[in-house]
Amino acid sequence: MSSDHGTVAATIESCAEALPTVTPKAYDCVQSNLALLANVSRGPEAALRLGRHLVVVARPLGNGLCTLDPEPEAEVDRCERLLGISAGRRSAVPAGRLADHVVAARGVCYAVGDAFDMPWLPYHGRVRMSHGFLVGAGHDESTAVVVDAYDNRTEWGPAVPGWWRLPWAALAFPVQLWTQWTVVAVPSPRSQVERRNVAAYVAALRAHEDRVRSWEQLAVDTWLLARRHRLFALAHEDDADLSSPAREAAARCEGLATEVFLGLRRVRQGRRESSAVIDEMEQVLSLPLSPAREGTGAAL
Amino acid sequence: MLDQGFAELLSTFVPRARQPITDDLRLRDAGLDSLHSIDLLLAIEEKYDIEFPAHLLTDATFETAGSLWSSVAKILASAAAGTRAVDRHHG
Repeated sequence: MSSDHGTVAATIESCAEALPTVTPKAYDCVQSNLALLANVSRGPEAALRLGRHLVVVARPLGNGLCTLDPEPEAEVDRCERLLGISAGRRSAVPAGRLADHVVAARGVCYAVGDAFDMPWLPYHGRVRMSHGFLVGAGHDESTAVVVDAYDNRTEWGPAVPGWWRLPWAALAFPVQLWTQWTVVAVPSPRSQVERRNVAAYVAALRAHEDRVRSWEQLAVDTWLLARRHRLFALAHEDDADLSSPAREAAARCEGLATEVFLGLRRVRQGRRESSAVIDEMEQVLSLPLSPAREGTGAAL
Repeated sequence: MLDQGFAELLSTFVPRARQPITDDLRLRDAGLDSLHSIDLLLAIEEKYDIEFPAHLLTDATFETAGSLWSSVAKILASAAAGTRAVDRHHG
């Protein structure tokens, strides 16, 4: 099934079968299904290539705060480069036209839309945020098959990896669609840590007038940071220089995410916020994680 | 030995647990997952007017009813000692 170069041989059924190959709680809502596609296309641990790079770049939102969450399209591009898989075509699909595009593509498609519209997720009808999934046509093309490797425990219930056969009408929402996937020969990525604009990010968190909004953003970003660090640690388990600091950083991020989740609930109740939590976030964002020497680290 | 009010509060979060709730009740086995742990913790904070410090937000704290009550008792004792110290300072 795997190859070094050429058309991705994956089917939506083989993607469903490969769901257990995706390491739990290591990928975010855009990455999870690209990780699955990489594992199907290149081999069961190919997705760990994403963890060779730790990228923490703050970008401004329109509300005075910043986020560590990249734009979905930019993240898909980055994942393609690291994973060595590439979409030949990207289309903006209007509501109600997904079936035409997927059937015409004759292969596995990757889509990003609004989680609010997706009936298999606990966010359905509740939360608006970008979310990626794999989609293909069923055997008779009259139904869709959705595969989603995303896993998370949310306050509305768990998001559990799985596959669903759905009427196309259940997917009648607009998406960005990536099709015609190929495997690209790329060298195993070298370790890299990139952090930018983190001082501005923390300053905005501290200064924002709406403290609930500020903590909500902090909760989103500490969750994301915990996943990024967990993946970085997993991808450097055999790296003599980085395995220990990467593991410690991941544990610290996980603890911070719990503290922030609790802190957000306290702030929502109108209680005093803990400035120590934002101090800890600032420290976590500058933890020393020196990349390994060029050419070192396990090839994935 | 669990405080009675604590045991009553805890029983609302683990309704399937055998009554009366005892120190050795394993909270995860009784159905308390991580999200409900946060709800329970906030309810305890409100009932006793305390705040859990970060170093107590561990799996060990939430292992059994007894370990959780032990953490609460420590926070209450620490708060009481702090209050006494303030009283002496101002006295």
